[in-house]
Amino acid sequence: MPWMLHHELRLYLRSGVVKGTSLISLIIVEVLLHLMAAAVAFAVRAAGASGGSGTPAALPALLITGGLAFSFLFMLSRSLNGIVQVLYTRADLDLLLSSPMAPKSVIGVRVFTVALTVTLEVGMLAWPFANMFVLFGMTAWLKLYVLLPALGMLATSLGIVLALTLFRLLGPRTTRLVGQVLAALIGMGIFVLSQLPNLLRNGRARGPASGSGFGALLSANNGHFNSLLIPGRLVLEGYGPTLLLALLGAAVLMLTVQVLSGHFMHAATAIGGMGSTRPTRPSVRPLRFRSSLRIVLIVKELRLIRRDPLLLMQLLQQSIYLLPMSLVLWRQSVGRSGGVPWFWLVIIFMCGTLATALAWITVAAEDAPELLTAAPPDRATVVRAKIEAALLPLVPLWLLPLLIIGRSQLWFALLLGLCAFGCSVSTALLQIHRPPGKRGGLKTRGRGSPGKAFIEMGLIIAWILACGLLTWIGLLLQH
Amino acid sequence: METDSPALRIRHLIKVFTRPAVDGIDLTIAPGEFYALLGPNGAGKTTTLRMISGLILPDQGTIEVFGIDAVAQPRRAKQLIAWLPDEPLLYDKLTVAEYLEFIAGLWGMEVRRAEHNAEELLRRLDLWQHRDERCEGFSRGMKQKAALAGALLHEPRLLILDEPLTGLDATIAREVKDLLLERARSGCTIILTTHIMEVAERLVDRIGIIQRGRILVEGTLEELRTQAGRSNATLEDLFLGLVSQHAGTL
Repeated sequence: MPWMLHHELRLYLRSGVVKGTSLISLIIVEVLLHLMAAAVAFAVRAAGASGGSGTPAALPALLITGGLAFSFLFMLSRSLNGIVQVLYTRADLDLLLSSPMAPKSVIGVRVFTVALTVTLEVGMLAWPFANMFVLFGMTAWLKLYVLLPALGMLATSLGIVLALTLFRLLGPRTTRLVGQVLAALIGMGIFVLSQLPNLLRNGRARGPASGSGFGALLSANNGHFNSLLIPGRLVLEGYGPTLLLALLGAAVLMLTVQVLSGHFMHAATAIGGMGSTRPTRPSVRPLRFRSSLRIVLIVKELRLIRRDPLLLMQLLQQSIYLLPMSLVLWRQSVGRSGGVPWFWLVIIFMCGTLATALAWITVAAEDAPELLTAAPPDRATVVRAKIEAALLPLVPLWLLPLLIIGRSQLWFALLLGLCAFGCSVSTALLQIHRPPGKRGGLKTRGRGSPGKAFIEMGLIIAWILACGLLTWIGLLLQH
Repeated sequence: METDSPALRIRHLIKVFTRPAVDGIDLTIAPGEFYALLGPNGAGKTTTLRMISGLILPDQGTIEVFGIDAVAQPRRAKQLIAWLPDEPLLYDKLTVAEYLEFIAGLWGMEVRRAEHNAEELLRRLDLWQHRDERCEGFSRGMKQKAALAGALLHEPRLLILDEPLTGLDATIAREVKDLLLERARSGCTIILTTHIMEVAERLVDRIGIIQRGRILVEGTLEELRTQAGRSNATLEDLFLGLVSQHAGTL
């Protein structure tokens, strides 16, 4: 069994989230995290030594509960994705299941690897803090070495249950897609959770305890809120609950594998036996072709985007992440600055990020680049149509300010629309010289060229600042 | 376009990557000829075909397609060419009909002609009932047939095929071979690479054997037998003999 675990970990390191990350860069990141953690630990100890009178009593419990919730959601998202991949990675699983190894062992090791990897992913970020806090005398942080594996095992167990439930409800053809979408949605939940303090923030309150929405809740001694902090309080109480959680995690994972391995095998077999062609009704429509090259190219790009739910999900994620920020800006802008709704600036950011992603998909992530090279049209014609295809879905966003605030703030709405348009076009044009990629790599496209990603972000911010500056000048001129 | 020009004329073609992939190839193929370029892996077959198709530029040498300089005037040359690699150039999320519409747009075909050709090809390749299905659900053979329909849609005068029969079952391989022969008989010039000697032996007019970027011999099967002095040898025997004979000399 250990050799297979070693094999699984090697595969993970070569093709998983750390793909393309060298061991040296990983070590450098870990060293930097330790240095950062040392600074935080020093500051916390210094605050403790000086009495820490401004710190609410429930704050440690809140931090721990929040950290646990954050870690669990991340692990659940990753493990659901991992389990779905285990089910659908045919060649590998077929090879293992055709060997003399017991199927239950194969599945057990695979599941354990998923639990281990999701734990490591969080641990690599969290354990440097544990190390430094322990070094500065806060030994309770050692519990992180037990808590995270426990959460990893619980999350993986839940991941298996979710994946198999989806399989039971949806069948082999749809489970992968829905599973990955669900994992992405859970990932979104993490972001919304991380933005919760901003959402709860009361713009007028200031001070160490009341500077945040959490602070206000903590000082208000809200009963419902306090009950939410039970996990944090339990962890703070001693080693007992932590060890209990670890035992629970291990027991639940073992039980899940024991009980569900048969169902897992059944699902894997059904997926393996799934035909490559979908049963469909015979076509009856006559062929109706379009004539213009430009239209044909645009239609093809829009079809490919529209028919890729995972891609749409990733694009949607980018927009949903902006909602909490928009809400915060909206709350802060109400009744200020001559009635200019500043939160609308978010739309420029949204247009910039979406245009970047869409243009990358259409230009850089072309599925059949050789076909286009072998065809008569020159590259400029093709790229122009592809950029148009990327910008078309953004037209409603450019017009949105005009439609909603055009009556009351016409000049601001026009300015916003123009800046959103300019931001979209300029960021889309940046994609022309991006190295080729695969559609699935939308999220990780920045890894290969961090400089370009930095320029893209800089350009978006420049457009927001320009719009803000012009609005401010407009306000000055009005008064 | 010169009417009496050869379909393809290559002179002293050179392409160097880390080592010379194509090392001074000269080749002339007549209009309507069915030509097979054979060679071991890494011999330079695909690189040669990719240069003819305009996918990579040669370091030296000239390529003329029906008298058109394919390096200087790639758009004009590409209008006459279709390129079909071993991995079909398809979009999984498009249906076959949508894929053919896209190809017709790329080659600037007149709509009526494109629709007519598409229907004819889809019926001929037994894909008509599947025209509104996405390619992602297709088997390897169906994908290759869809890609072949795309390659033939604009009635290319020079069809370039890289391992077109790899991974196809016997039925589909026969369908593809029959269609290629039909096209050759109707005047389309075809150049293909294959590792299946039987295909070259039965389908093509002339054969060129390439190794380490150079053409060792070319001619009809009979001419190759005469050159080798083995009147009853199969193409496989001739090929293996030549390749092993030149393995140490090049």
